Amino acid sequence: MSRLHVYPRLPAPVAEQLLTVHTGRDLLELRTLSATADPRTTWYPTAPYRVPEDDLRALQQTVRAIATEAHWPAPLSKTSGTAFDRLLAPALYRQMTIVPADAASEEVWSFLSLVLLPDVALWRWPNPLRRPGYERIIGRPRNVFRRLWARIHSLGEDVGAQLYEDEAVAILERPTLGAHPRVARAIAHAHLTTAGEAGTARTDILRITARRLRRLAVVVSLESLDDAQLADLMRRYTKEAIDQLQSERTTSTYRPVPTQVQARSGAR
Amino acid sequence: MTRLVRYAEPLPASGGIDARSVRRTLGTYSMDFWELFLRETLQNSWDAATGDRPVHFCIDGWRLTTAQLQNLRLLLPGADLDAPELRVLTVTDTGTRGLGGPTRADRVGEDDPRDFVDLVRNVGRHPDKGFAGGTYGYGKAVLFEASNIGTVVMFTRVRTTTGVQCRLIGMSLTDPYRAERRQYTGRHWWGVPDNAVGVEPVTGPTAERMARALGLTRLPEDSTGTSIMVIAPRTEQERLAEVIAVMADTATRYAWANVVAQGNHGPGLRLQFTSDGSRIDLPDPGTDARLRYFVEAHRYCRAVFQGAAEDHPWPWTVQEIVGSRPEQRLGVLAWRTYRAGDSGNHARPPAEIALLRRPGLVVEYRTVAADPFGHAISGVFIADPELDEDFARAEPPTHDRWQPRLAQRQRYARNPVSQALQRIDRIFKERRAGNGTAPTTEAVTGVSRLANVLGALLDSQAGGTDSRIPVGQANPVPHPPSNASGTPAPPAGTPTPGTGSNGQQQGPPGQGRRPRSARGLTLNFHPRARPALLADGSRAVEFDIDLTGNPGAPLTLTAQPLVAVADGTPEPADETTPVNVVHWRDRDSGILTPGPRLTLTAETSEHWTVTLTQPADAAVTVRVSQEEVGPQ
Repeated sequence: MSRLHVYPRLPAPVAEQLLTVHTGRDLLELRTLSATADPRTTWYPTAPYRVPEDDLRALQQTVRAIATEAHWPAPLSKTSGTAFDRLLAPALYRQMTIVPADAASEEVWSFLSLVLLPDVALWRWPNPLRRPGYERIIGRPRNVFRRLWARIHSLGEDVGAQLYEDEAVAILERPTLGAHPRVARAIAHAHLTTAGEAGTARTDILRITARRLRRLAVVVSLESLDDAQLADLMRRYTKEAIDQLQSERTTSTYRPVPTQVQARSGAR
Repeated sequence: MTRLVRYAEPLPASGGIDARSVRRTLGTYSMDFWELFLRETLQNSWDAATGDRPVHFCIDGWRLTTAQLQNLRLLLPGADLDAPELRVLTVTDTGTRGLGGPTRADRVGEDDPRDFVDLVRNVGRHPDKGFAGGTYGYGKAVLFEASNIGTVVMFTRVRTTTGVQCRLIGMSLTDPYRAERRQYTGRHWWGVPDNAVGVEPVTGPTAERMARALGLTRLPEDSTGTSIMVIAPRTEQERLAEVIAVMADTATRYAWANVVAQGNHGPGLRLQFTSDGSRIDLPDPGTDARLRYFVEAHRYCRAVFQGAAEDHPWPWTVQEIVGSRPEQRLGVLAWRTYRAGDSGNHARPPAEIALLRRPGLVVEYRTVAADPFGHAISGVFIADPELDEDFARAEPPTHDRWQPRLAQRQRYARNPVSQALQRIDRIFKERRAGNGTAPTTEAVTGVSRLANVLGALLDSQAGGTDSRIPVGQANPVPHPPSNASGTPAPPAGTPTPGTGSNGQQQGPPGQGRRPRSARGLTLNFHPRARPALLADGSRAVEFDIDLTGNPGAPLTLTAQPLVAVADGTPEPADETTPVNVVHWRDRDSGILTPGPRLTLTAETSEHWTVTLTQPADAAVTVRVSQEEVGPQ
C-alpha cells in the first residue's frame, strides 16, 4: 500500500494573479515558467507525508507525455480534448496518490494548474474570455485536473471509462449523486447495464434518471440505502426513464404517471 | 423555380486571399465559445438597432423537419447535410436595419451602408487581421465556427430607397483546397448564378418563400432585420438545449440594462430563446438574486446623470468619479455590499463592478478588491456620456473590456479611461487598507457570515418562515428591508415553504422564503403544508395563503407547482414529476376555483388554500405570482 501524500497549496489570491498573467501566454513559455515549487505555497499543517519534489517532477513528466501524444502544443481539435481527458484521468489518479481530503482543497488544484503544469492546463482550457476566476484553471470542482481525478475517485477506472463525457458530468456535478462514491457507482452501473444498448439516447435516459433522483433525495437519503436497495432503485429508475423517453418519442402529449417508488427510507 | 447553384471561389491569378478564419485563436470548443458567440451576435444586433422601436433578439435551436431538410438541400446543393438528425441554430434580430447596401463588394456609393458586403462578401479575407484588426474581429468568424460544416444561411430584410427588399444567401468557409489543378480560397456562396460575382442572393417573393420553408419565420413580413441559420451547430460535449440555456443566461448577464425599462422608456431590447420549440425562461433582472443589485445601481447612476440624484438608502454608495487635469467627471459609480450566498457556501464572495456605456451592453464585470468583512460587492460604473467617444474607442472589436491604450489620443496626454479604471480600483483597495486591523483571512469570512445569519434573526423575522409558528395563524409581514428598490416592485414570484411527502415538512433550500409585496398586497404563506386526499383517492397537498392589504386593482394570482431538489433551488414540475394545481379554495366560504389561476377583486376573501397533487417520490412546493388584470 503506497503512502498517500498531501500537495502544496497555492492561495486563492496568488492563483488569480497567476491566472491573469498566464492567460494568453505562449505554451512553450509557460513550460519554461512551470516549477515544482513556489515560495507562496502552503501545506496542510499536520499531514505526515508531503509529496516529494521528485514525485511532482514525475507527475509533470507523465502528464506532459500524454499531452505530447495529443499533439501538444498544437491546439486541441474538436474531439481530441475529450480523448486527452480519457487518457489522462486514470494516469493522474494512479500517480498522484493524494489524500482524498487534500484533493477537496481548491488550492491544491490551483497549484497543479498554475505552477506545476500551466503549459498543459492552459492548452486544454485556454480561457479565451480572459475570465478572472476561470473555473477550469482555478481549482474549483470543474478544474482541468480535479474533474478527472474526482471522476476516477467516485466512479472507478472501469465504470468511469465506459461513461460518455456528459453522462459522467450529469452524475459528478450533482453533489447529491456524485459526492458519495457508492451512490455514484450504483447509478453508473445500473445505467450501463440497463441502458447500455440505447446508443445516443443513453445520455437523455441518464438525464431523466438524475433529475428524478435529485428530487427523490429530498425525501429519501440515498447514501443510507444498502447496496441491494440502491441497485434495485437505480435499475427501476433507469427502466422508467427509458419508458418515459420512448413515450415522449412516440406521442408528445402523453404524460406518464410515475410509478410508485417502494424504496424504503433508511432514515425513518 | 429559380435554379440555385454553389459557387466556389477560385484563387485569382493575382493570388493573395484565402478563407482561413480565426479558428486557431479560439482554442478548444466549450461553453466559452458559445458565450462568445452570444456576445458577438447580440452586440451586432444591438449595434444595428434602428432606434425607433425595441430590438427583438431571438435564438432558436431545433431539429429540422424532413420537409425543412428537403428545402435546405434545394438551397444548398452539394453541401454536406447527411447527418441523421440535423439540427440548426438561428439568430434573429428585428427592430434592426438588416444587411443593407450593395450586394457586390466592388460597388461603392457615397455613404452607402456596407452591412451586406461586410458580412457576406468580405468575410474570411485577411486572416492575419483575425484577432486584433479593425472590422475583421471575431464577429463574423463565430458564425462559421459555430457550424460543424462551416455553413450558414442568411436571410435579411432591408429598407431601400425603392422599398423593402429581402435577400437569402448560403455561405460556407473551409480551408483553402486544390481541385483539378485549380486552387480555391475555401469561400463558397449559394444563390442565383451571376457572371460577375459567381452568385447573388435570392431576392423577392422567392426568397421569402424559401426562408419560410426552412423554418426562418421569426422576421415578421413588414419589418426589417436579419435571421442567420447556423447549420449543424457544434455542441461537442453539451446538448444543444444546454448550449441555448447557457446563451440565455449569458444574454441576461450582459444585457440586463437594456432588458429592463429605464425611467419612462420601455425596454430597448427583448430577448427570446427556444429549444425544440419550448421557451427557455429568462430570469427577471429586477428580482434575480445575482442581477437585481446591478439593476438598482444602474438606476442610481442614471439619476445622477439626469441631475435628479435619487435618495439612495444605506448601504448604497453613489459617487461621481472625477478625473484630474482637466478636472472632469469621468462617470458615476454606484455600489453596495451584501451578504453573499447561503451560509455554508465556501466560494469567495464576488466583488464585481459592471462597466457600461450608455446605452449599451455590459462591457465587462471588473473584479475589484474584495470586501474586508467578507461581504460581496456589486456595483455599476457608467461612463459619462460627454466622454462616450473616449470610452467607445477603448473597446476592442469584441467590446468585452476597456483598454486605455486604445483611447490614448497622444503620448503623455491624460487618459480618461485609465484614470477612471484606476480610481475605481483605488476606492476598493483603500477600503481594505482602511480596515488594517481587520483580519482578512477566510476564517473571518466565515465568522462574519455567521454573525450575519444570527443578526437576521433579530431584525425582521418574516412570518411563515419558522416551523414553530402554529398553523393557521396569520403573520403579517413587513415590507422587505432596505434592499428593496423603493419603487413598486414588478409582479413578483413568491416561493413558499414546501411539503414533504408523508407530511414531513421540507422547506425548499435557498433564498426567497420571505414573501414579497407588490402594490400593497402581501401574501403570507403558512409554513406547514397539509397532506390531503382528493375525491378520487389520490394524494394531494394543501398550502394556506393569507392576503393582507388592498390589491388596489384587480389581481390574478397564479400558482406554479415546483419540485424540491436535494442540491439546488426548486424546479418547475415537468413530465418527469407531474404536479397539477387542483384548485384554490376560499377558506371562509368553501368555494372552489379549479386550476392554477385565481382572480381577486376587492370583495374576495383573505383566506385561501391552494391544493396541488402530491407525487409519491418528491417534495412539492408552490410559487405564486401576481399580475394586474388589465381593463377589459
